[in-house]
Amino acid sequence: MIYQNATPRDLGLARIVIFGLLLARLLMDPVEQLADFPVGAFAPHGLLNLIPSDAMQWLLTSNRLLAFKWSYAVVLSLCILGLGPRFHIMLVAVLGAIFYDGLTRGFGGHVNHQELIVTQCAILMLFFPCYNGLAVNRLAHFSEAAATPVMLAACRLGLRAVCFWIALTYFYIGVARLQASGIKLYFTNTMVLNAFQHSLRAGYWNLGLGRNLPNEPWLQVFLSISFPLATALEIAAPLAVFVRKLTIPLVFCLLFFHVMIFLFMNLLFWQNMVLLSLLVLGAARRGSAYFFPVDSSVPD
Amino acid sequence: MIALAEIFRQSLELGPIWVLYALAFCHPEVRRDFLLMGTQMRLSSAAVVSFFTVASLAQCFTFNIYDYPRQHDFFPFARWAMFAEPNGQKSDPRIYLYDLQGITADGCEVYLNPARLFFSPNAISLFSKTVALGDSADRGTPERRAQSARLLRYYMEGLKKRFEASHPGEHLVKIALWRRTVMMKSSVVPTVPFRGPESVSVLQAEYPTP
Repeated sequence: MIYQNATPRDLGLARIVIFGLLLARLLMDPVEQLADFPVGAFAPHGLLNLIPSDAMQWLLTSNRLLAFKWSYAVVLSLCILGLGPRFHIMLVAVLGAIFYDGLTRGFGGHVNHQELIVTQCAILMLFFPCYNGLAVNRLAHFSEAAATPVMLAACRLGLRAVCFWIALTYFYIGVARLQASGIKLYFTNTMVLNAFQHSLRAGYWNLGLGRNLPNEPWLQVFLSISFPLATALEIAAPLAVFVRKLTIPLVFCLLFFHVMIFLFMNLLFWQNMVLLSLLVLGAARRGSAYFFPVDSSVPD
Repeated sequence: MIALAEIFRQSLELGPIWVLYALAFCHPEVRRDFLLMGTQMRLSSAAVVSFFTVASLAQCFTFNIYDYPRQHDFFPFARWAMFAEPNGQKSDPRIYLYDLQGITADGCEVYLNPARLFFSPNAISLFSKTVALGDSADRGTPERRAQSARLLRYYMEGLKKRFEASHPGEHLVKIALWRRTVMMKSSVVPTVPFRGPESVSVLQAEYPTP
């Protein structure tokens, strides 16, 4: 399995990657512009239904959304630094992530899955002691005591749970496709149609490699062959967590798969691509410490 | 309404998912760490189990994932299902594209791309919404059409405000949603938006000249 010799510092690094992604996407997003929409354009989903509609209406102004953005950015920064009471700060960060995704979903109808996956990884991190390594909180403690077996077990389990979740999302997609469509899907031009359709839609990116698909038979063959292979890859993705020898090849194939989706469909799953680095780090994590010395344990 | 058959079919996905969960838990290293952690962090262990359980239930019991607006879902959990065609293949070789056209006060035509007007490079939700609302306003039941038309007008109002904020001095007096049909066949050249018989106006909203 990956992360055989995980330490609190490895879990700390995963915390920095996950909350760093949340911060990066927040800073790139002019969320206050959502106030340009009338309140009627917002439809709350899931947990956001618990917020009274009056309170939601009060929040949906440009200044208040901007205030939310910067307050949330401060909370995320505390998580990245590993500063403050862990559970409370991380709980606020997770609620902020759910609210932020809920805004996108409420105004847009759906949340890009690559953004949900980061929020869900942050939810998982909430349950593990991830402030015990690479955290400002640790600077106050100079204990040289070795990490306890329970702490090390929690670190390994936390990292494997996050990596398993990342891989599991691919598995879900593969199973859902087979359940809905069966094998006959792979003897049709469904993938070619989807690629053609996505390449013609107005999005942010405009690479257009799929635009000429009707006139490129070899590209159609390439897509038709790669469709079942992609499904097999999705279903095999969890093996990247359990069989360390397969981690690097599977992650490499998944990265290639995301690059192809970007080129043919104008959809860039950059957050997935960054998260996959956690699996690569896990595969490299064996034997002695790789670039961080073994950390001591401090109660969370 | 969700058909019982659909509920049954999707619930079958629980089988492979829970088999995978069981295999993962049976791995000696996972079981050992889980039991060890459980001795001191019982709540955390229970929370992790709950997370994966809710995720699997959301996966199997969320229906019509691209519908907008939706009444019930497990947000922040969602169904992961891309390029899964219910009938095994796309039965229709036609592709429907939705384009938003703006007309400025001085009569110029502009292409309104919500993904460019609003969000960061990777948030694609608004163009998905354009498709979902366009489909239901254009080809939905009468009830869905009325609801989608109302939501589209709100949506267009937001696009108008954002366009005018990012283009100082320009005002939109009309926004129209067009549907463009492209056939997937060899030698096809996709037509330009808003022109020709392939483009049909679905809905338009007019605004007073400032």
